[in-house]
Amino acid sequence: MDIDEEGELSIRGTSNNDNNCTVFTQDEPNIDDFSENFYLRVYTGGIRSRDIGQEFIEYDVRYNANEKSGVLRYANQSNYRDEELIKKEVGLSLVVITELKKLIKQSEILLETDEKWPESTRESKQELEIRLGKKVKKLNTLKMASVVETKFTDDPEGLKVYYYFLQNLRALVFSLISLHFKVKPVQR
Amino acid sequence: MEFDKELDKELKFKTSKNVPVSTTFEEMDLKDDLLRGIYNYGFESPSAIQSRAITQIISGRDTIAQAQSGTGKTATFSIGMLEVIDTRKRETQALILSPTRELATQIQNVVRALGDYMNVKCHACVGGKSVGNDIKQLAKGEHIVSGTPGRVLDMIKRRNLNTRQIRMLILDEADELLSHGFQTQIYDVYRYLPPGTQVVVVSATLPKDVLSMTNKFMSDPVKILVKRDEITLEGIKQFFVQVEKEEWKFDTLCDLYDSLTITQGVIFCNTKKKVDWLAESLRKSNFTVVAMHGDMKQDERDKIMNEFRLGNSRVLISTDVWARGIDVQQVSLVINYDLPLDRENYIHRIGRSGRFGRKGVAINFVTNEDIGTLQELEQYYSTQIEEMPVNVNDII
Repeated sequence: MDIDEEGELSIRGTSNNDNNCTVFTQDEPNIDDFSENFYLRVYTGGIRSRDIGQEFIEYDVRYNANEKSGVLRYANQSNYRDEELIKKEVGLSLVVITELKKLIKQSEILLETDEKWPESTRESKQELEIRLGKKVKKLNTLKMASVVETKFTDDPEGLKVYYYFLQNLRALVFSLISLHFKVKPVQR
Repeated sequence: MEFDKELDKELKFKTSKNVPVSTTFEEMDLKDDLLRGIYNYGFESPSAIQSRAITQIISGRDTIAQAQSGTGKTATFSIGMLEVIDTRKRETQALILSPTRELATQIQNVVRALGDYMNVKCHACVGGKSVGNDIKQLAKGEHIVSGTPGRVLDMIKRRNLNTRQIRMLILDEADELLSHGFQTQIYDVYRYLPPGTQVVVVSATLPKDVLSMTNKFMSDPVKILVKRDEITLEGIKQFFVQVEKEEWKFDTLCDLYDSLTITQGVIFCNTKKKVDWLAESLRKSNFTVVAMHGDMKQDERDKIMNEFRLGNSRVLISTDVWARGIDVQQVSLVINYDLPLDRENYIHRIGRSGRFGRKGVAINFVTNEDIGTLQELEQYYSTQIEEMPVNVNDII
């Protein structure tokens, strides 16, 4: 994790050189194939107010071809009442990597494009990045508050897919992070 | 300007290293009479905060104890306090301050229950009650005083509450007590206490700016903290209902009323006026509700509290006077008719349900204007607040 030129803290791990990237096909990702690098990143956040500044949650999953495990990194930034950046990192087994690929495939998110989606703003930004080998998919837009909001856009169906995919992904990622870091408050 | 690396390190406010964990109450080496009280109260094994903080409090060190709502913080400091109190001395040895009268009274009851076999005297010193009775009780010598800042300060100034033998000060809901509303009163009380009084600071929410303030009155405290992204409870499912206009909230609430009465529920509004209005409107529509806020007379507040605790009333409408600490285990649903005005009280409000490992549901009513605020809450706490499903009844 490093501070980029704009002073934003971010996880951004991959190079931005997408020149020789190819497009995903309908059958991808191949769930049982571990011979390609796999990368997934989600950023949600924006500038809140002068006092609070930028707040975001960002997480990424990195899996290098043919390795036995991957890595999940997570960051939650806020300056509300002097709070600070929280960073966590956990190792992922191949079972989880497979599950993530399954989520991607079942959602058919790779078939969407963000051409008709609302542009992100300083106040509200949501980014999804999926890489498999040389193929890359980036879908950027505003943070949608609810499915209802997608109805008033030019691509309600596409944004609905995006909304539910991110919701499912977040549930999985947050559970993984909690499992590793959260002390169970009561035994029952 | 000099740069003090040691001080700078301190500003990070991490949980102290090597805090021992006692997995049972026996391990804590408590007085037999206290242990009996604990088991009689219904506790079997200690919660995470109890495992860590009780022995630290007993050791005499200043302690900062943070834990999720409804996970036994009151019992934590009560047990620690009861262990170190000498019941043979009929003098006040410990002082607990809390932001509301109902909470201070509830704490008194917990202390009395846990100390049932110890012959401990605990007095609730709160506003809205007879000053004469306070004076009379305090004259007898109460081991422990649980009170609200204003009345306690008053009793100290009148010399009815003798502070000479006080060895422990507990600030419950500390972030609230150290906010602007209470700060000066707390400071005034603190000045009357003997030097070296042990200070224990407790809350489910302890923002960094509050932690920074603690070094003004605490020395080298043990810190047991919970990060903001670990503070919500998995047992409390959070939902939102988006309404286009404020006026539509009322109809939504009427639709939900049947779910509310399955067990018990609390509805939060941001103003006393709105509480009155909502209670009146619901009654007009033939719904049974009770309401409570800070402008009511104390005996009326007490009556409503008692009825609600007994389960005779099932739906309570209130302000943030009810947000913190109040423990009614049958509450399984919280509705934010208005979103709270700060991020801390969101945690406290929804924490009225899901007590000690029970399941709870929180439903937030949001207009198009405040959906952004809800998203900020969700992100700040790394939690999930989803659109309310149609079958919400099955979840409650």
